[in-house]
Amino acid sequence: MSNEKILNRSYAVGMILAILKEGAKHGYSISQEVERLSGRRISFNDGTLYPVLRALEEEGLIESRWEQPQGERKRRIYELNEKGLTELERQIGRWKEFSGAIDAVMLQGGQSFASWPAWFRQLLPSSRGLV
Amino acid sequence: MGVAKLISFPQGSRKHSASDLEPEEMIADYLDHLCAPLVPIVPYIERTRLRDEAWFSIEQRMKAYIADGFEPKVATQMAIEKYGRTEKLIADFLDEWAHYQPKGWLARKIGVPHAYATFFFGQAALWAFLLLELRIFFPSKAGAFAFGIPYGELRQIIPQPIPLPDTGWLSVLFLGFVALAPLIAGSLTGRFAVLHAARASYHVLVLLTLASFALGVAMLPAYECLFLAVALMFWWLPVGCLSAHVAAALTWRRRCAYSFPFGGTHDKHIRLL
Repeated sequence: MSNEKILNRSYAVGMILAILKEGAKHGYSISQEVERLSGRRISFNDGTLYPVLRALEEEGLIESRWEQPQGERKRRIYELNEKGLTELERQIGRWKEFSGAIDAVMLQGGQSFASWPAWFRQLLPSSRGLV
Repeated sequence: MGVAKLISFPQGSRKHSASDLEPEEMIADYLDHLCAPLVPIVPYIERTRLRDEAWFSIEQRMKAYIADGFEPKVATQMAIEKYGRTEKLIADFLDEWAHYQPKGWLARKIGVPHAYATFFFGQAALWAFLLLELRIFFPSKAGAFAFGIPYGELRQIIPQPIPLPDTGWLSVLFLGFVALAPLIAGSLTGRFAVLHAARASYHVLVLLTLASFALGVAMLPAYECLFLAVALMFWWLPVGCLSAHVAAALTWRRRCAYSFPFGGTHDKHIRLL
């Protein structure tokens, strides 16, 4: 499996739960919201989204029901429940911990460059605007 | 824009070109192509659910394009195009669906493709080993097959103590089985475990090869099991992986065949509308 897929899987659940925290939504608007909030940098195709929604439902983190407004096509509405909310908080905590750890490593890396002699730092591609 | 001849409709049908399709029919046709390859794999209830959800998504996109001033047919075509190629959507769906599926004990432990590969290649290796044992305990009375080469020269090619091939029925059966087993086991693995069949076959065959080498060393001075290990490494491993890959690709192609109503890919379908 590609790294991208592993990464997608690990953050997809958290993002979907976070979107549903705002209120009940159908699959299409979940994917639209993810695209909008991420500035179109992240997008789910429906092939990826629906199995995840189904799995979340099976795990009891969300609930769903069919709705059919008058004269419109039926759609499935997904809603976050208490268990899902707890899971979302856990996921947010994990993400903060993870991104904090990455930040610490990367910023530490940046600081170590700062301690290098100026003439040597000039040689780094980043200081010449190449990276 | 060119108009494609629609071969999914019978000849003489009133609607015989893509441009004749109404927006609803275009979406229905697209969703037929999307869901058809899932028939042998995904249960009916899940397929209909995917179909309903996908229909709603496409319709929402179509409405957005219509609101932007596009003609309904063009809007539908754009919405379908935006929704994506059926092959990719199906592959993504199956990958995710298989990941979240409740599985049997073995499949949970090692994954579905590995479970199939273990079952088929494991059985093949077991039968090969059984035939080998029979060959050891019931040595052939038939003479060695020398390929018309004098014995001395033959022994330079196949040194002692390696037994010379003989024409006994057990030997022929064993050699035939060893030659054909990876093709059959690989094909069955590819047929049943469409996703990652070759990779699963590779992993299982590497383990079987190592196990048969260990067994071969334990069975010395009888060399036969070591030959089986060599056959596993140089014949079963490449041929098994290749046949699993080919069988998986053919199975996938057959399942997706319905996705190509114009004799080309789905991209062509969309472009020609």
